[in-house]
Amino acid sequence: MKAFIDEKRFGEKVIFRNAVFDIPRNCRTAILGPSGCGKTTLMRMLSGLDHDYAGHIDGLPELPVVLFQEDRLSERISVMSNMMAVSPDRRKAERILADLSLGGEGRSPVHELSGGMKRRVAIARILMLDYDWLFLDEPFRGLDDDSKRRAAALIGESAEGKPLVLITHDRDDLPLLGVSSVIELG
Amino acid sequence: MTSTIQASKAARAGAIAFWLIVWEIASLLIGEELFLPSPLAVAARLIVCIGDGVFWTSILFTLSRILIGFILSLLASAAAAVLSYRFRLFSILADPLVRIIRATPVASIVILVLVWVRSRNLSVVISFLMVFPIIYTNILEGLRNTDRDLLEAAAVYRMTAMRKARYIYFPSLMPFIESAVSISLGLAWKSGIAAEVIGLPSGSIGERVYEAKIYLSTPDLFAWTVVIIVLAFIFEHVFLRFVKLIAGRAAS
Repeated sequence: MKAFIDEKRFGEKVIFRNAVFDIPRNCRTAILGPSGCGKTTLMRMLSGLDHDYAGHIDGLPELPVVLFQEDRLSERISVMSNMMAVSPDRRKAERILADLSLGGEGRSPVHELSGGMKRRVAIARILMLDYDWLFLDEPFRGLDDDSKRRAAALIGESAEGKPLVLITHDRDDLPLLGVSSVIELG
Repeated sequence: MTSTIQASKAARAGAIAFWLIVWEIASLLIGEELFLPSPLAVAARLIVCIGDGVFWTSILFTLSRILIGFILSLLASAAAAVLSYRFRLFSILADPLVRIIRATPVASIVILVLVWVRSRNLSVVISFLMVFPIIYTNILEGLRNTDRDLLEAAAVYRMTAMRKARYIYFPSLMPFIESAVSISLGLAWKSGIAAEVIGLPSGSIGERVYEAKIYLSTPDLFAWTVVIIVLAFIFEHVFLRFVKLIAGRAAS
């Protein structure tokens, strides 16, 4: 995928001007940089969520899945209902939840979970889906080391042979997901 | 927790007992049943009424019509709110209509509706019309307040319309639906019975209330008022429990 961004701005603030980003399909890429440098904005353009820019992107994903920076869970319903919302495969959902140490939480309303548990549910939910590109925006935010490793292993397994784009400000996340290509912003 | 609930119930019972005593004292001071019957006289009248078959048929008559009007209104207003949310033109067209219905006094609507429908079905139409703006406005507000981020995620995760409705819109709407149902149930009762008192459909609670008035039977009037309050209370609690049950099912 190659993005030719002539200009991307929010009001008066220019985020990118005359920028070219090359994201290889055959390896995992990280977009690194400090907060506010435009990582999420670039991810939204690359995943096809944001079309409001001057320029064009060759090879836009047809079936992208995005793990957003926010958990974006339906808080009033149970963990399992959030999983069922994206796929009816209950067995798969149970297996993924168990793998992320959420086996006993299927019936728990999301609003009763801790921040780290919600993050794991958000990760579990994307693992239910089929995709051709996977975009992860700060995927391990709020997770302890053990949960981080476990989640990274599951994501790595799910994204086997598929392009993956990781947005992070933490270089320690790169080896966890086997990232071999890096774009530095800011 | 349990002791707090018990204390709250005891406080409520105490408040009711206090006002019953005030009522009894006021009734004794006035000393004229025509103006203010005592709680005991009303209770005695109520017991007599309960033993009468007409009492139950009147309740059934009114309850069934108000319930039908309420349920039809709930369905129609929910559908209209969804259409308004999806189609701006529909929302623009519906807005003045909803405002007019909300602002028009019940008595004016009752008299107008009596021109169009038989008085037997008056309370169906009135409870329908009184409830419609409340539920429509609340559901539309709920739909418009649905989390945009969640809807974007739903699009990325390719959720079907049915799944979006069940897992995103419905949970997000529940507080709005509960609030609307709670407000509108009481209104359906008040307006439905007020309509019956004006239109006098034969065999209704409204007709019983009207008869109590013209025969100057104040204990009857009070007894029927107590019945209406109790029915409205039961109606509200049963319906809200039903709504919460559905919400619980959807959430699990």
